Amino acid sequence: MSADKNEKNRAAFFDMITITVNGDKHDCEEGSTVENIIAMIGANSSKVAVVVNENIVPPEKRRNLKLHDNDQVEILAFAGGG
Amino acid sequence: MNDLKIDTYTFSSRLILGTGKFGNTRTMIDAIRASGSQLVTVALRRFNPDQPEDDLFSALTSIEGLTLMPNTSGASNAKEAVKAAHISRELSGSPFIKVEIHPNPQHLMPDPIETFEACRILASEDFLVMPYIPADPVLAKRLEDIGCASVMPLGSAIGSGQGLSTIDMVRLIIRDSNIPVIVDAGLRSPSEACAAMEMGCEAVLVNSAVAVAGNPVEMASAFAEAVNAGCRAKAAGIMPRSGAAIATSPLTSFLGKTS
Repeated sequence: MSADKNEKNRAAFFDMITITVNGDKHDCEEGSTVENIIAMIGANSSKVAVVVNENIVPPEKRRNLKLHDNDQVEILAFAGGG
Repeated sequence: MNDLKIDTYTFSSRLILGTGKFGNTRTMIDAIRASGSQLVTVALRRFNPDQPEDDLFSALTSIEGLTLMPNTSGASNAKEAVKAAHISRELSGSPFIKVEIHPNPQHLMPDPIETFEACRILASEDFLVMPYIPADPVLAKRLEDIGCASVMPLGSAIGSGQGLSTIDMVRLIIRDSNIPVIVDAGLRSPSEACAAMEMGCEAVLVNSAVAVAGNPVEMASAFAEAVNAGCRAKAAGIMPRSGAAIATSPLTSFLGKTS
């Protein structure tokens, strides 16, 4: 591997963060927003609630709220229940 | 039948339907329509990308005039229930919350202490708090005092179909209550729902009895008729019991008899 490629790989490595979504770890690009993560798992933003590190994230804040390494994300929806 | 009034909300149906255990979403929607229910419960769960057909929210919001009452099922203490309530209100926009805290999956009996604490917090945050509780008249009164919108004593264990096994305690709760009393859990058949209404419940909440029936849509309709009948009977004034027979036909002047 050339020194140039090594440098690129190292840059790519440091540009990634690891977050936990609904209990599963995911690697994603640094700077990813809550809306990016909702899309990543295939949910419709208008039909889910999102909690990041115990804080509810309302729909109007999801586009701009960036995630950080080790963030805990919960994406929740309604299911049948009595 | 008079409307059901909970706080400032009015519902023309006194049957509250749960949305769990249905074989599929189509059947659930048809059952809700057949029941005439305007208030249905839902549960909060992690989004499951493998089950996109579980888009319950879209299905339920397609029914005009339906209000959602999220529950806190899954919470094992007050803190978890309050958190679930906040998330549910964010998602549904509904002020209603069914506080349901049952830490032991073996019997699913509600925890009265954690339930009271969760209700106290949520009532102070302007939720319309509808706690699922043991049929305890003292607890019911305490929950009324802290501002709950109703109390929902269990008829018997969740999903058990054992009917109104708590009937005597529910009578006491109704007698002392100034907020709607709604029997929740354990009802098996429409006759039990009718009996609950006849004794003075303001509504009944049914899930399993409809969802696992051979024909859930038909059963939903049957429950609606039973609730209606019980409500009308209560309003009409049910005759008192008598310890002795009281003739309905004249006992005198029969044929050739002189007295």
